[in-house]
Amino acid sequence: MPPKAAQTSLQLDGPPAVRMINSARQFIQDLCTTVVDSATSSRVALAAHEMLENLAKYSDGGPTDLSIAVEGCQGGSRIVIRTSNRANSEQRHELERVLTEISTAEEPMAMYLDIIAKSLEHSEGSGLGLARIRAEADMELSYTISGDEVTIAAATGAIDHVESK
Amino acid sequence: MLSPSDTGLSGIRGEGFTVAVEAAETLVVRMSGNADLELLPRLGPFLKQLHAEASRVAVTSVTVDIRELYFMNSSCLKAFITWIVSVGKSDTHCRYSIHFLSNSNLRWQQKTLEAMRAFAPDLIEIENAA
Repeated sequence: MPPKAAQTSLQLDGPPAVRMINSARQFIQDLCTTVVDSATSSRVALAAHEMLENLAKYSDGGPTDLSIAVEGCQGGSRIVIRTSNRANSEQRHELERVLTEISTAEEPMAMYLDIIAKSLEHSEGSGLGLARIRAEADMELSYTISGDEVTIAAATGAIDHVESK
Repeated sequence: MLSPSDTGLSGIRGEGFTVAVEAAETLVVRMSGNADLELLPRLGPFLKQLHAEASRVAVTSVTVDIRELYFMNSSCLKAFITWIVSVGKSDTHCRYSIHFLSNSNLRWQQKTLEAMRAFAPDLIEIENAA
């Protein structure tokens, strides 16, 4: 019998304060260790931190949302982190470009190192955080855009054992 | 043997992070807390100064102790790689090895350090010293 799905979320009136992000990451990691192994918790925490920082840097005003869910998938269960925020047209186009590059890369680590190398020539806005989620946290990225709202999802693969607690 | 006064480096202290500099047989940078968006504006200039001082006093190695660094974000990672690349591009007499002391209990460190090493594999050593 697959484990029961569970979800927790953080909803804010605006972008997260930088000082809140470390605490949120630690909370998420501690929460995850109650249901999955420490390696998976660390991966999820890394992704959550990078996604929260992206909310802080790139939201175009308005509420922001982060949710973490345990969802059923082929092979068992997986953890999915989603963030939502308003983004302007330029930000949405850049996001689509970056996520297409990341999600179509055949070798995530090579893609990551390439994005790092390119980012050294620019001061901002490289997609480095998202590339890190894919390569270091080994999580699949996807996105949806509805009007000016962007939702990004980072998902682990099927996890061997998720405890129902 | 270096003494702290041989270098013009001072550390960084903020809410949630510390970067301390020691000088002995080599330069040692100890980081603790979180390397995040708050540290970032100070980290880049610090690493530039570190490189300038390390070159000036002609150290053969700089040790970066991150055993108590709970997390590093991608922006601080980029600052580190900028430093590492600049070391790699330096003239031979200004170049030094970079020795990371890591903590295997902080699982993010392994892959992040491997990414850093990819940019200067001949210069970087990684030691699990937890």
